[in-house]
Amino acid sequence: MSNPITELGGEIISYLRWGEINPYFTQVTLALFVIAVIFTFFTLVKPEKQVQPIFGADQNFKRGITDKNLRIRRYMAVVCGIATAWGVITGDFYNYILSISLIGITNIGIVAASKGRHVLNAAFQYGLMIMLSSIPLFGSAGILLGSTGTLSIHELTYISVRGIAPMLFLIGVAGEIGIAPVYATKAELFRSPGAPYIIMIHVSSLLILVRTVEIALILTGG
Amino acid sequence: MADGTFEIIVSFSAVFGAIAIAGFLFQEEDIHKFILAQGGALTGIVILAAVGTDLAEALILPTVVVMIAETLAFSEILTEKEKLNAGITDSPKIGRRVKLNIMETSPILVSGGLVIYGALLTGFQGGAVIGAGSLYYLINKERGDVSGGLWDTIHSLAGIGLGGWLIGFAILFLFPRFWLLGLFLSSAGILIKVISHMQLLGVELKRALREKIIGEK
Repeated sequence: MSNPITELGGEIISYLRWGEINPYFTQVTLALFVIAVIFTFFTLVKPEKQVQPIFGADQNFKRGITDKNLRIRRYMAVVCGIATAWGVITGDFYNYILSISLIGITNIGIVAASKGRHVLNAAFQYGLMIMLSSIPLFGSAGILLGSTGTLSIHELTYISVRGIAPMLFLIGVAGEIGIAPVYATKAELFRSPGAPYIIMIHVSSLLILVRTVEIALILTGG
Repeated sequence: MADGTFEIIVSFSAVFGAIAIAGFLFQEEDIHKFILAQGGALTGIVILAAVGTDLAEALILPTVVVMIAETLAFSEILTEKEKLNAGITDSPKIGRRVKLNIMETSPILVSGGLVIYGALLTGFQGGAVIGAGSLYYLINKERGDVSGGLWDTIHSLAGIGLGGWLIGFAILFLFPRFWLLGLFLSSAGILIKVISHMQLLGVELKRALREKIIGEK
């Protein structure tokens, strides 16, 4: 019987022995971790200003972002980056789910910081989506714990999980994180000021989806 | 746990979640959608609780924290959105004191029962139950403002409780022979701390209700 962790991600480079949680770095998760940390530092640069033309005249004006708005968005983006970096290296299924929920809430914070009617509408719809998809997400953790008796990814490599738990997990991640870029696009956030914070939504979504596929394969394999 | 109980509970919560989501599909108003989504989100906690082991008990608290955080965040977004739609900057005030008969008569019985039950529980849960009872009483009965001296007294009581909790923990690790003393010190300390914080929260909540929703000074 082979170990799905080393099969998917290569050798385990480093291993933090913290009780049952045991974060670990393979070649794949190390790359994901480094990307998440780099993009967290990118959010500390000054946000770009949006240039809008004035119709009927040969002029344009720049739309900035207010100071209070900037601070809360930057905070949310940094928390989102930290949660992503933690989520991609963690060795505990429940920890992974918790960091996914945190990323969902911070995404909402980034989206809702701008006070446009359409933006707030999209943020509220995304919020309903997050609330509904926390049912399959936490439900999958409960069913996994009930059927296998453990939530450690290192233990789960030796157990082949059958049934609805991996499917619920995938549905939950799709609703919570996978759909985030859609709502960011729906709110036309690319055309509103404050670019580096919007990038964080996409980066976290991408990294978490890669890691989710890995964890789903670890659950069903073994 | 008996065989098959977990499956039965999971199936029932799946039915409950399905009903909540089906209701969700037919709602027009945003606030109704929000409330039904909350009802559906409880199913996750039910499934976790159905596992029924120590680990499940440890997992429920973070789940509840996540749900409360989501509820607070999205209700804030909903309020902002509705304010923007109505074109106002401040929330509308009621402008008169709300008089409900149940708020006059029930507090003594309800909070008395909660206080007795919480005193039997002790520890963090007992403190939370007693605190909920006193919060209910304060919201319904308390009229005037709390003086600075009383506020400070309650605050220092919380500090003494925290000190007792820490000393109890130290006794458990340093002198394991006196484990019963350490247990009682820490459970009584956390009880006092949680109760006093919940009482301060009740006073503050009452003031916020009077000023921001009813519009009194």
